[in-house]
Amino acid sequence: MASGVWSPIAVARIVATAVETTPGVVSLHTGALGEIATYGGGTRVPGVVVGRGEQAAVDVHVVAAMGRPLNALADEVRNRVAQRLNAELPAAAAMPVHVHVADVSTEASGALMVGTP
Amino acid sequence: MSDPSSSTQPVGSSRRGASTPGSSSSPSSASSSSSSSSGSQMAKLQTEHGTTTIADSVVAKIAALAAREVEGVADLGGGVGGAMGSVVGRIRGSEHQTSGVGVEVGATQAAVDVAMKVLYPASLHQVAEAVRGNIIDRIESMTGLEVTEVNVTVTDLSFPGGQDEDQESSQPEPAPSRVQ
Repeated sequence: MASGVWSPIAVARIVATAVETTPGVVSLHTGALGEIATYGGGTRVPGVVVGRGEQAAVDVHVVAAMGRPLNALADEVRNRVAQRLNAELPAAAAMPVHVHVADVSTEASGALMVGTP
Repeated sequence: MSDPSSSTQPVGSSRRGASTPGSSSSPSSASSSSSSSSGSQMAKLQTEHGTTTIADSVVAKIAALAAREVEGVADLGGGVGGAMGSVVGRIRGSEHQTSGVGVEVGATQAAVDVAMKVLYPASLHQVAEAVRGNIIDRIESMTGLEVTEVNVTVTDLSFPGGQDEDQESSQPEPAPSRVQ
């Protein structure tokens, strides 16, 4: 794996944008202490962990909206990330994308909450 | 979908009956069959381009919402444990949404324990059955996990007027005055 070709921060920024614009994703999840992030020189991208080296992979932690099957949501997140990486940074597009649904949000939800007092 | 073999335990309306949910049940069938979860307690789905994991707290939240949706359910939790839970929940923020709900999640299966208060004139076992069905529907449609069992414990009755069942004891008769 030619990890020198791309910087983890650059990949993480692209991934974060792709994830946040996926319908059904309320936000990225940064962990209880905000520790889940990709760290780089003078900056960090919360909610996305880009590994490098032999087993390079992208870990995405999301808060999902209530009401949509989570596996379908995770598949769409994965597809969108792959598309964006393919378009903007093809060298990094081969990495597997692990989606972690860390929480569901009831506030920004849709149909399921209608009718509950 | 197999019909979950689970039990309803109407513990009654006494405070002392509010035992820890799941203490008399053994929802071990879910975990015993998921030895491939590699130490993680999360539901994990392997796909071609990566894995999907769903946190246990997500499953618990879905179960809590599904239970609250059912007409006749007054509240989740109950008894002393519930009171303590709500205090802790207020301190810890969002956690209170899942008080009264316990989940055990394996790789492909989940088991749920739920403790709840029921509004008084409702049929306890019908409400319990509806809660069980709704929890199974929601968890299976949202997470893809197979729900092996839902153990429902009715911890208390709730009365529509908002009066608790120990109303009489909380309002003792004023002692007649002995002096003029």
